[in-house]
Amino acid sequence: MPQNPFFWWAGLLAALLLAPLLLGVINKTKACFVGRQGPSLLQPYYNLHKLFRRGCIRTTVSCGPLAWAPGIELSALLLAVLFLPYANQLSPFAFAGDAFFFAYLLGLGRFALIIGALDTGSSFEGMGASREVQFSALTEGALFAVIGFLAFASRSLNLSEMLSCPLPSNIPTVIAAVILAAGIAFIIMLVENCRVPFDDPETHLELTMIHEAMILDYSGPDLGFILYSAALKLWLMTALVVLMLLPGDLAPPGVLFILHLLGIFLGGVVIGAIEAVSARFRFLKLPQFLLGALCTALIALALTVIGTGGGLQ
Amino acid sequence: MLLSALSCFILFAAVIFLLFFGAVWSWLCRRQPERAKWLGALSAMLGCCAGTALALPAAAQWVPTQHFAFLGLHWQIDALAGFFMLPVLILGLAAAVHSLGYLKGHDEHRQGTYWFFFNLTLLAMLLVCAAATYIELLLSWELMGIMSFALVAFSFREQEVRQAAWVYLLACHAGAVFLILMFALSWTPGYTGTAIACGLLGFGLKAGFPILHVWLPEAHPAAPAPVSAIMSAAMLNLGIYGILRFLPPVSFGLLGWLLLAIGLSGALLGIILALAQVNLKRLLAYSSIENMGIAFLGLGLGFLGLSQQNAAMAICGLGGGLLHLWNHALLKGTLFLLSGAVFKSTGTLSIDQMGGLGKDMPISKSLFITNAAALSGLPPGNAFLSEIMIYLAAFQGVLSGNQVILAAAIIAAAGLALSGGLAAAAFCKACAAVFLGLPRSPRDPEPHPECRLMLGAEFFLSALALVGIIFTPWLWESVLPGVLQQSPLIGSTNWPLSAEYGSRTLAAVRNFSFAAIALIAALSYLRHRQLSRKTLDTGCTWDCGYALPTARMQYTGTAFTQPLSDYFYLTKGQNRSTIPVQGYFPQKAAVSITVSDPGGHLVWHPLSRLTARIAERLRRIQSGFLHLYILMILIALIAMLIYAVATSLPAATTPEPLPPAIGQMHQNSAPLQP
Repeated sequence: MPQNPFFWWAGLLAALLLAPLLLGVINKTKACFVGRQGPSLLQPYYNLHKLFRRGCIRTTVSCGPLAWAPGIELSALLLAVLFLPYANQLSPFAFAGDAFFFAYLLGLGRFALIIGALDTGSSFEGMGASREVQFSALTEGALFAVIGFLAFASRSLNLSEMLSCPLPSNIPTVIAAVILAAGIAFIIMLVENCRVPFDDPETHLELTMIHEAMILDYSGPDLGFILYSAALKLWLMTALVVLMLLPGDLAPPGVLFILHLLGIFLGGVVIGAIEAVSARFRFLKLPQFLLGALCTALIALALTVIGTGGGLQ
Repeated sequence: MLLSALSCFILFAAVIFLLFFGAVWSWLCRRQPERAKWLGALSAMLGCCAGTALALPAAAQWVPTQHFAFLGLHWQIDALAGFFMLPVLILGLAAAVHSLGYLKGHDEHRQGTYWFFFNLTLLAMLLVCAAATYIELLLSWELMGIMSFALVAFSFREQEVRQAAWVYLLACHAGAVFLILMFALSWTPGYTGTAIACGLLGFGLKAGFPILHVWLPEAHPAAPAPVSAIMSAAMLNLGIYGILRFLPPVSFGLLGWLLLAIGLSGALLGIILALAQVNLKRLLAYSSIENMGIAFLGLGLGFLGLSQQNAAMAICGLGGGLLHLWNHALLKGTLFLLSGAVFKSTGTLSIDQMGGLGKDMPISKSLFITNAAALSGLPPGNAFLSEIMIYLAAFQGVLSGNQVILAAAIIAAAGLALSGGLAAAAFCKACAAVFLGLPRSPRDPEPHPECRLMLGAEFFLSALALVGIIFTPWLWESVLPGVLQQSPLIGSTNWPLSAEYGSRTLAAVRNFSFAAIALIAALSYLRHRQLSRKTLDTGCTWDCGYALPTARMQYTGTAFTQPLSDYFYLTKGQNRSTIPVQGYFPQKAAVSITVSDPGGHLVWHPLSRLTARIAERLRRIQSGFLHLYILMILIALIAMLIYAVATSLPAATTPEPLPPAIGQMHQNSAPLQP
């Protein structure tokens, strides 16, 4: 597998710069599906620019965490960005076990946001935080089962090698398992990023929100931090799914770079299409759904184990 | 060599002297509380400092293993003992300082009693670590149980405290009985399995095994906060210490599977129950059960690795488990001390009646939130360092190729992840309900300033946790393998445990943790600069356009975790009673939720009902008539006679088996000669 660190750095830069564009792609797709013209693709950038120029309104109830949370969330994501193998090039920051660090950094960001939300003393934000904490705790098991599957399929413990290893193309069950696991990763991505059908990022009613209800009291640069972090997280998780499906030995790095960018935007189109055609699930059904995802991830693992006769060489 | 042995002996004697005479003297001065307080506290602090000077070199293996004959008993200080002594000493020091603030205006006239039992509890815990053979272990174990019982029962005027102390005393004694049985059976051929089961039960009662944990959530809320800190952070560890040092030799595979099952169920049960608690200290106590479970999970994976000859899995699991004990000790110690400060400030431990304390106690709030986040295993906290090692151990199992191990390891990893997520939920609830939002019940309008002594102790532990992150890679490479080799269970492997594996991961995590802290600081600074040039307004919280939200409209702690605790069937059915909203002009509606511990209501309550019923039946024998008693004695004698005649093999003529057994016992339990 030819390695070219230049493309990894290019991928990192793309993640940092193009993450809001992915949101634009999703919104545009949604608009196209329902026959509207929709906002410009660059609208998220305009929003961020506007927010960073504004001042801030703070609730008098807050005793501090509300102000700290956006910075912590953004820091966690800026660190998490370092561990993905963009364009299937090994990350220079990779170490054995960075998959866990990646997952727990996302957890840190979530913890900060939840504490920030509860700092306002608002019942709506409390409700959002309560839901977020429930669903994220249950997603965690599925996420680790997927990581376990990747570790077993690639015989490695760092995220770079897990996601960039060549597919053993001669074993159909493994390919089936990879697709299954990528499907689970896609579901985890939808839950973690609060997309339809698990949460509706554009609902107008606080009672039906999860993530959006937690950030009701942010404004100005704080809200900008949170929106940018959310875009970055969406980009990262979509990249994770795309990289799972892209075998490392498919093409030279330059082509892989283009392919992974295209794959991410295609992911955006898929998310947009799902949002346009489906409605949000009932909250009460979500835990069952998440446990189902965990079981499916375990099935994927079992398929790999059986398909490779207990171990890949 | 001689010099180090001599200085170690002097230090050991100094620790015993300081703690013991400090305790006695402070008891003698109990009529002068001020004097008793300073005597007890200073001797405890000095004793802890001397102990640290003794235990730190031993744990770091700067000095060889020391053997002492002291008070006619054998004591031994090696790396393993030093490793488990350090949390006791550090927590002892912090708790002694904290107690000075905590006891102010709280049973002040009973300072002498408090410090007597406090110092003796510390001493007994240190002696448990230093015990060389079973005699010393049993003596100091029993001393530890009784002394800490007195501390748990310190506020004995309250009914719940007496109840809790009673449960605790029973648990201590049941544990001691199991330990005596273990030692008695371990040199009886053919009973090794029973001995191991007894050992696990006896030590597990202390270490909070699931089902055996029921005393823990009772005793911790009842005890004064510094005592709960010591018990939770240092005393629970001693159960694990006992397993590592005194459990009879057992195959790695069996022990690994047992500990893995215990650890996984303990971690999940502990944290699920912690989620549903409304008493702050009870929540923390359940979280201790979870963390002990995580440590057991690591040890179980490590023993499985040993049985598979998988060096990386073994060192990651065992080392991660031990490391987690230290990390848990520092973080949970701080949290318990903070719960004491909260109790002093509000007079209650029920988190649904608190809220908004963050404005009165800003430093405590920041410490609580950071420690809680760290204890949930989130980076850049230090508990993440040990959890990532346990994950690595599990994933080594996934990669090992053995399908049974793979299944167990993946379940362990998913369970650990789930418990991590639930721990975050439980601690979000604790932080938010106590410190954030608005006060839920009327409070003293005049805010109490935060007590400096209590803050000092909490800062000390938090700072140690931060320093711990820096030193963990060093600890991993040069301390943990030596500590593990000292355990008779592990030391019998014929290949050395190398710490090569994992130290790079730890170093990377440490560097990224500090990078995270620096990044957070940098972003906050940027944000601050950006905002300092802008208008900064304040307003009321957005509540869907409603501008007059009251404190009672906030989410309570119970409400926050209600979906999760309902999901795990903790608060459904008979645990919940509701007065529903009725009619067009609804009057009063209410819901009351209780949480029962499955260990209690599924195992112990039926068991105690059964015992009571049997006892009730057997009471008929006690008729009160002397001639009936004599008849019973006669029947018993005749039955024994028949038994003796029927089995009259050379039982009476066999030589006494006692002397060789004692010789064997010395061989078994501890090598006295280096």
